[in-house]
Amino acid sequence: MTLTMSRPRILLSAAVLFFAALRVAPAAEPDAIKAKIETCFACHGEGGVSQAPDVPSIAGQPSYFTQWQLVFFRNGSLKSELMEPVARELSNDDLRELGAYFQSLPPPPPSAEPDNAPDLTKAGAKLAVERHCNICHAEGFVGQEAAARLAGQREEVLLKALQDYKAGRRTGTGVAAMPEITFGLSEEEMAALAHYLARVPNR
Amino acid sequence: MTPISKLLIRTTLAGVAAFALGMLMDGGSAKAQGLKHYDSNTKQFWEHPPPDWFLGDETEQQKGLNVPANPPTPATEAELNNIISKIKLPPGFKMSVYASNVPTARQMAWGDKGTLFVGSWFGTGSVFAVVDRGGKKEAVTIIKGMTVPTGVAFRDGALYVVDISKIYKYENAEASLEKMPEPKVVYDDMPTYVPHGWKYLVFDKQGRLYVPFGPPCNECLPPTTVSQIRRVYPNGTAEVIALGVRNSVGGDVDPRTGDYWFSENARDWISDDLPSDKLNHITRIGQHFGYPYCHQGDLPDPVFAMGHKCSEFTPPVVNLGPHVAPLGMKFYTGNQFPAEYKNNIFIAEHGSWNRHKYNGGRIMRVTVDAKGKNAKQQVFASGWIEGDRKYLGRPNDVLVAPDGSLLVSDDWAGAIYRISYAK
Repeated sequence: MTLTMSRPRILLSAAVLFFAALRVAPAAEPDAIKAKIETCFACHGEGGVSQAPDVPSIAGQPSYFTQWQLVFFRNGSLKSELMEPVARELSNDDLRELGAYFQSLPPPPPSAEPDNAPDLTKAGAKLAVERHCNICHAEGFVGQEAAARLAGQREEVLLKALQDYKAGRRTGTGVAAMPEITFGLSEEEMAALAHYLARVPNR
Repeated sequence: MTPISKLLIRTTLAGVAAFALGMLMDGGSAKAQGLKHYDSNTKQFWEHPPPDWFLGDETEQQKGLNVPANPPTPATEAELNNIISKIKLPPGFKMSVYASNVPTARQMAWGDKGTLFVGSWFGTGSVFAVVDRGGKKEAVTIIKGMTVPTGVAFRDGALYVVDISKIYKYENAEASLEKMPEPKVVYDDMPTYVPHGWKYLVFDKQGRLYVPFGPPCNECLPPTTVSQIRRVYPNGTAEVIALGVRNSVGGDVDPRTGDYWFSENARDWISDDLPSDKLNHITRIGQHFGYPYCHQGDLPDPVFAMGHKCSEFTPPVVNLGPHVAPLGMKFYTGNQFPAEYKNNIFIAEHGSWNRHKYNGGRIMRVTVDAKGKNAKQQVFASGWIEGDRKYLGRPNDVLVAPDGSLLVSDDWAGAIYRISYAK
């Protein structure tokens, strides 16, 4: 830090420090839960940031979102040969601890790759506004309560989620939400939304 | 409330910090959006509502209010102990936890042999049986994979479950808790609309089933198949017994007369204090209770009155208050509570979402004669709301137990409480 730093930069640095402090605070990890977190990281990537196209990033997801998905895997309403056996071993306390922990992790950084389809990004941005994605998923699509963080999620994961909602393979937590919104979306529109949201930088 | 302040309240601390950082970096460009409006009078809307269908009549005053998300896991023992310590009851009454770990517990019904059956909400989609395991009550999942099986009823050994557009019957249910039999669909002449499609089931002495049908909108001229209460006969035929009903998710048969009474949730997006939710009484077949033309017996709808006067419709027995969300209700038929409670009505108020300071979230006691006159209401149990907008729990159904105590189901805390009385 230099003494000549401009005022906005001081504010920014203060925010970063505040931010960093918060990141550390809730991440108390008793040993039992630590082992479970390591199991998650094995597929979802170190720090919960996925390195595989078809595996979701779980870092920075709202706690309620993570917990609900685990509830769905555990009770079999969300089908996955990989996740069902894992979720069945988790207690309600585990769900709460995992939810809080993943929420505390820094969300995935924006994709380093250049945008290979800027027109698709533009179409997706327009659709996201038209379909009010921000009402549940919050400004900047950072997620809130039971609604997932979409910003920076893997493109394939987002597309599959939309397709699964549309096909009735996946249900939401709300009073009519994702199945309803996807009903009116074409395959091209879903591809555009996924392409755009995967490129929204996290904040 | 602006989207920004809503966000600040609703997101987590880390999220807020991230958001604040974003604001600093992009100069705070989060734009306020215009008021939302949907035309909810179309079949397209009813069948495939927008995800935020319940926000479609937004007003400047109520803007930003949204339905709070249920916790994914039921309350812990410590959380339930905290709730118990916060609930206020009249002298001589006390509340305890009857069963914990009943995710999103909704309507309750007793089996003949003492099993308590419990429906559930979106996200859970299960029916539970609360059974005694070594002196401890335990909720066992007996049916799963439904959409929103809120309503359950029991008669002649069979469990009945309603899931939006079908009523299922499970024969010999109490002897089949380990593996429920294949159900028989006993009634399905029902629309599949999801908004306000969740239901409540009540049998009368003759075995007729009372079923409410809510409109798939906040305020609209609804499809002619809904906004009504039907009575389904054991042979599967049915009749419409009440019209002009908005969202009813509770009712009971008056032990004094056999008449059906029901609670009704009024429309949203007028203001914090209008209109009032209602308690109604059906005294003759085909009565019209006002929706969508008239609310709370005396408030013509600003748009949907369509030339009608409130005097054309059956008024409520009593207005319960704005945004209290009255759901399950029962006449008190037990012998444990003091004599003056006999035939009083207990109503579980689920509490507000479309109000700046939440209202309801408690159990009300209504004293009223068999004709619906001289209604008086008082708070019976309260304390589930903390501050302006925080739920510790949300009561949504009541049921008189064989010993005369009163069970209360809570779909937020995922628990069932027992309120008992001793001199």
